[in-house]
Amino acid sequence: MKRRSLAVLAGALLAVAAAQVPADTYVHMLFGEPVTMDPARAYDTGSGSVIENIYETLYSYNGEAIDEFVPSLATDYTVSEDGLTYTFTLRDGVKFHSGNTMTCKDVEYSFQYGALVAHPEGAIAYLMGHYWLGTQIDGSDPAAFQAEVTWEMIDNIVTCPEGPDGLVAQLNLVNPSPALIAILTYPGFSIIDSQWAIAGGSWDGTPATWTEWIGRDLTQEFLHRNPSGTGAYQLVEWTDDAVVARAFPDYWGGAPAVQNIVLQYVDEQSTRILAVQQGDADRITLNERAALVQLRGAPGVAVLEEPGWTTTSVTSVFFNFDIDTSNNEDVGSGQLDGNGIPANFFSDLNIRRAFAHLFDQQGFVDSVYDGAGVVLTMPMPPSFLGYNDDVAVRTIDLEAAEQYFRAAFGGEVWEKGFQFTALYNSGNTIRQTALEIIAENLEFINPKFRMSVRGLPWADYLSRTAERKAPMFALGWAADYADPSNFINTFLDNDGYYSPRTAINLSEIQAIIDEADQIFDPAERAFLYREIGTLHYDQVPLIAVPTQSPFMVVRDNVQGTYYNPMYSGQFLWKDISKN
Amino acid sequence: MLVFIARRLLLLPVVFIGVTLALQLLMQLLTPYQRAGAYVQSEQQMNRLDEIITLYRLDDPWYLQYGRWIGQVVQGNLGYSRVSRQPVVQTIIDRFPATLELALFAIIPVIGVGIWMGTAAALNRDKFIDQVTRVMSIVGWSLPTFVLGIWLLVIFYGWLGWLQPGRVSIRYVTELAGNPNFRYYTKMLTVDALLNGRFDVFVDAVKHLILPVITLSVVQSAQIMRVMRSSLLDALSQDYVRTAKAKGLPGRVVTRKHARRNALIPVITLSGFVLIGLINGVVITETIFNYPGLGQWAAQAATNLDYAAVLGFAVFTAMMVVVANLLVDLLYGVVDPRIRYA
Repeated sequence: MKRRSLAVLAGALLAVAAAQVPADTYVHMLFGEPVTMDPARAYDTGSGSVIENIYETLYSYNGEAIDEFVPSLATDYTVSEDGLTYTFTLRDGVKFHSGNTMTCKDVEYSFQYGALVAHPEGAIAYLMGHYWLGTQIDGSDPAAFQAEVTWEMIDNIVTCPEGPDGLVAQLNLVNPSPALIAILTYPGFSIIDSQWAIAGGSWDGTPATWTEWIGRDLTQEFLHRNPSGTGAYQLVEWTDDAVVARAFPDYWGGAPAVQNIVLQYVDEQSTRILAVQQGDADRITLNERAALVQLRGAPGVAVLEEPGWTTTSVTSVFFNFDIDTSNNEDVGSGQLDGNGIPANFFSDLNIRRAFAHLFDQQGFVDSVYDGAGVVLTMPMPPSFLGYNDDVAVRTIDLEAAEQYFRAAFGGEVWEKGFQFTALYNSGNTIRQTALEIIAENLEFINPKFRMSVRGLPWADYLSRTAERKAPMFALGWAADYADPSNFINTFLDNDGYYSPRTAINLSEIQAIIDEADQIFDPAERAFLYREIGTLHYDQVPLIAVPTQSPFMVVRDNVQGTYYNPMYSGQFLWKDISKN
Repeated sequence: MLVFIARRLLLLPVVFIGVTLALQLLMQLLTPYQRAGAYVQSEQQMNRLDEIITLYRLDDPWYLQYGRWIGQVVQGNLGYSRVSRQPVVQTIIDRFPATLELALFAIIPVIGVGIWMGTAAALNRDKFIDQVTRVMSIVGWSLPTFVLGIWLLVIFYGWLGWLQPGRVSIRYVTELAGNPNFRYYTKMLTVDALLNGRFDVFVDAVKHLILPVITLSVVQSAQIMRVMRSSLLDALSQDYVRTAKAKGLPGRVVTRKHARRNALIPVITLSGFVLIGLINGVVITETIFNYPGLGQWAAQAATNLDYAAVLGFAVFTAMMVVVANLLVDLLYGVVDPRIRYA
């Protein structure tokens, strides 16, 4: 009997696992765990991929279209002539996971909470600061924040014309933005359940306590682990190796097809590959495209990729227009004497054009992305409004490069030569390769031209570029919202996010950026951004590095997937089903 | 005995200060910018390095940072782990049972197989079984854990589909998540499954333990095997064994009661190191098999410069070593009656 029991146990243990994921469950194995469930602090793909499914914003994307916005928690809106007041009609009868009903007070609370916590690690500090508060100060220094931001400013962010329990919410901006609806799709602007948050010990929504929440460490607070959104799924469990979510029965949009969602965080890529092959995962995320060779043709596994898919990340090689040459080993002598470069080296248009002709755009796609990439005509995702794909691209042309170098600095550069070091962050092979291609091709032009490439640890790299010590460097940007301004202003604006590192100052481009910021008509804006594309070819403010074509690996019984690069998970769980 | 135990336990704070001070000083080799860089996950945050340094006071002198940390520790707070997104103490509470479960499942085959094979090798010195055992121990000891782990995973999961990585199958992940009917008494899933009367969950959890246990056992038991063999050979050549044989005692009795018992003393010493080895081993093993224990967390913390988590794990491991050594010392007295503690 004892032996029989042991045999049964052994049989059970060694039985073929046959552990296909149940039909009512969707399992995504990936890496990069969520940092938080609090929309005001989340600024990573891991958190975003959960938050975008359990919370909702006033407007959202229309499926895979990143330039079409559809009502979500709002049903429509109007905007004042000066572009500073947006009035939203809220959807009636929307329930939070807690059972509370959404009204204007929740919109008011959500925006005020995001603005006052102003967490430097959070997503919305800079957006709230620019559009609602008119300052870029964040909460890392509460005293300085209070010196610039008053309760009245916080209180004015959102008002409720029909009272807190009404269904009209008015957003009051201090700076207009033609991209506001796109900005509002960002998960940082998710609508929080104010009653739930207050009952759980979060900010009580009153002026008496608002200063206590400026820059507060939100990881110890209630909303960090206890979300109550209006999304189609509610969080059941969040451990540091998995997230489990379940369909929300009272979801206003109807019950989703898949009942259970499991995100499993598996650092080991080989384990993820085996899991999707075995049917233990419905989708896996891969570190790199090269691993696809193990999955193409595998029974039950589908590798999804389409020519129109592009990422919303752009990497570029940046020129520093005003290098800090003091105590700077990366510029050699700091003079145009053959042993260094001067501070204004890249201000010369001929220099920038010459370097652009040292970079083999298609060769980069072929060698680094195995042919699956897109050459960019301008530094923004091709799927964005105003992308100009009619513009030519400066690519490898050594004769043209030589011509421009000969013309630079009145011929002095060609005669004396130069040397400098370009920087990238260690471990980022794409950035490293882009710079090395340029450096290698430079050797063919003139033996007096010397360019070294070196990698720095991430933090050193950031501080060195911030000090404007890096003469040339490779960095990137991932879209916060689907609007050209998120890239063009960031990269090319004299006052943009990258300007402290590049000191860029190109008046023709700047004039169009300023004009586009004031125009609300999409067609007019598209025209202006296309103009920037043309100017990009002419002025070469930077060298845009090709983007890699994205792909997804799923089981072939998963239906309804699409690729929206603005979603951290590329699609929403509520849109998929399994057969 | 009690004085001995108390004296050994007094070592704990000394070890604690030593380990944490050493790690703190190591961390100070990184500049505040380098440490702040660990908080910056994308270019969007790169202009806020100074604010992050201010927020977390990363530019304070090391003794202030250390003093602040010690002050928190005294209050039972080991800091916040960015990797696990919760307090370090809570992470240890959550994850240690899984690691302990794995270690307990592993320690039996590690010691049992090691002693059994070491004994067999010694009793059959220079015979075939001895040669095989010695070769196996060299291969086992020199085989990198991650290589063995991936081999096992490819064979038993990828090819045969018998055994899965993780701690439990997906159907139980969704069923047990937020399930008020399944109570976690010990957070060791096999034990809790039995206490909840869920034999199916128990079997599933055991299935998930097989591959990591084999991975840990092969490497660690090789060490025990070698020590047991040489120790038993040494014991078998002692006068008291010869005397026992001369008295006419059967060979099995001589081996079991006289030689092997004495030969176990160095094995017990080694067992303390085996426990440390298991804790080190789980860092890689848990990562490969996606087993959510302390080792997986420690590996992630180290690669993400999660300062609080690294410190917390090191402190916890150091405490475990002190306690393990204490247990080993106490076991000496059980095995060898000549050893007494004043």
